[in-house]
Amino acid sequence: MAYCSQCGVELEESVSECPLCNYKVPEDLVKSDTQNFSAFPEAINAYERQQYVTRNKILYTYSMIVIAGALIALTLNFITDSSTDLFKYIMVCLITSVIILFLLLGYIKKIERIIVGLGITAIVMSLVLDGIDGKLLWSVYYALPMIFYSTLVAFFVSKKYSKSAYTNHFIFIPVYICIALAMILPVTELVIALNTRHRFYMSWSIISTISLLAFSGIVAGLYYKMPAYIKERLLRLFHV
Amino acid sequence: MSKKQTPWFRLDNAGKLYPSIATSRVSTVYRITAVLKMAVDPKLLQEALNATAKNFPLFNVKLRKGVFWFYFEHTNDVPTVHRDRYFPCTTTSIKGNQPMPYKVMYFNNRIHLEMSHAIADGGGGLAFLKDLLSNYYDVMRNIEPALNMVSESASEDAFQKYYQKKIPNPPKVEKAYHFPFKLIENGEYRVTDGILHADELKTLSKKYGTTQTKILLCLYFEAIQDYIEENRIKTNKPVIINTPVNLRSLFPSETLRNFFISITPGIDLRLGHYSREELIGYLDHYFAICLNEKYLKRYIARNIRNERFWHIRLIPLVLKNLIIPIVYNYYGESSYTSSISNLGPIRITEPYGEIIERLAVLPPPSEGNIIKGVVANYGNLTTITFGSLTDNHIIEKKFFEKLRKEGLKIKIETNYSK
Repeated sequence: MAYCSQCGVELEESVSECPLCNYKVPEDLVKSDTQNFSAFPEAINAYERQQYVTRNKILYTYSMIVIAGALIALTLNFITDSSTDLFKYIMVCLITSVIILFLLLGYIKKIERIIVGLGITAIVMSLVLDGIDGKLLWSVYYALPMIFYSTLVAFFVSKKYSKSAYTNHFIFIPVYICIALAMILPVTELVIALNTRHRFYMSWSIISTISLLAFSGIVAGLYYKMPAYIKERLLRLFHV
Repeated sequence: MSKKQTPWFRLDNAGKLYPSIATSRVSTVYRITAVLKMAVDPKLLQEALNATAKNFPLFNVKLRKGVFWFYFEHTNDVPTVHRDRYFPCTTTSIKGNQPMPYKVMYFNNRIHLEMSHAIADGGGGLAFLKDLLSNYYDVMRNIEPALNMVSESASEDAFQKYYQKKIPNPPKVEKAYHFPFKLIENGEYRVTDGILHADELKTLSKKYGTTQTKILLCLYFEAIQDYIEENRIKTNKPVIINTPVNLRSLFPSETLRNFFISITPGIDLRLGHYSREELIGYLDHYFAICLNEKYLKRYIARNIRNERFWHIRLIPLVLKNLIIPIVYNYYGESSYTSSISNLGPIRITEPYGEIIERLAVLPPPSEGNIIKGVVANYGNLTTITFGSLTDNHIIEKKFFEKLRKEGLKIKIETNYSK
């Protein structure tokens, strides 16, 4: 029998650290050949396994559809007049859709990496689609700044959410999404205004940003109720 | 020529809820473990299970979907025993194409029974496991297992039996404090077993002039209180611990299906620090108020009344499956900080008990109440099992530290130790 020298509880003989007080059991006292008497197996995550199988099925099925679509497009391209760039556009979109599906299916664990992946895919797709006719225009002036900024915002907001104390409270997911949108929309309008009006101009994005922030505040406030000091301050300001 | 109809039956009052709320994280499946004195032989266990399945036709069912409610349909299939490979309480899904609402597994010297709460509570599961263990004992000794089919009354819906129309609803429960710990990956479940001598626990409860359930509840309240105070957490919500009560002791019934309600002792830390004497005094009075027929009848009446509302009955099952999880989360899970259930002393008739070292019960995982505990007592060993959906084990640690400080010897077994 093995006992923890610090807190005195009895431990399994194969354990190298006391689960109660984290006391490290001296290495020579840990028995590694006690598998036959251990209480729990090296557990497999059934949910993860099931999810992996489902993910593979979805990706495989979609890839088959994409290959079929590409073959049909290729055949039509040979049969009909091949002077148009339609085939190229179709091929770029099909390949991009497979990459996006791969990223969204969660093969990559960390959400930040998925966001960066989606950003890079969107930038590359925009550049390739724009460059098919030999000129790079909208992808550089519109798509590049918008995608870059949106990816940056999504990256930091998701990082902030995963580090926050509210990750168990799923009501905060729409709250964080609204905050991210509230940050993205003004820049989107700004990029459009700078390219079309050639000057700083903002209108609808201010209204949407205020609405989104108000919605986030109300949802979070209703969920957690207002902190006592805010209640008191509001009461002081608005008492009748 | 008339086609033979497969017999079916309705889910009981408590059971109606569980299939609708079941997900990978809220599996509504509990596990009862029998730790034997020798390694388990899977072939013999299968033979024993074949005999037990015949004795419990009530559990040999498949969950089917009706237009308005789920229902159970009888089947002649007998499940196969499996080696335990997955995280506990996470793989018995009765929603899919699983043949039964229960599963029997083995690992080294352990027999596990995982049962869905949709069909039975701990009392029903325990009766099934006891029969399985006695049949296992028989087949080990080349004795033909006896056919002891459970009586008709074992399948009664005792909630319906004791329902009285004109009884007021119980008081509403406040929203409770919840642990701010991060959830682990979907499909995983952490288990902490604390094994102690029953006589030492009995001496401890006698020292404080109370019962074992109340002293354990008191120490659990203390552990949570210490955590909140040490971390200077400001909360305006009370700490409420859900304590299931087996209604069979107050309302005579032989049912093996669900027949329990939960009482909810709680402390509000805004009122100040609670000493051990204050907690024990509070729990003594709270239990005295709650554990009587008159008080509990109100819970039975409320539950049945909710089920019998015509507008609830007429909602299609597809919509019920969407609404029930939200309602359950709002009115059920949000009203408890954690849960401790005491199954009390479990007795197995001799000579069958001689192959068993101890019994343990693992509560179902729950996203709303990420740490839950069950106390099971067999022979001179009491096992306190905590199931948790977080990697932060500070509450369990504090609880067992308190028992250690009282001089009790404890053995700790976990499925997450390095």
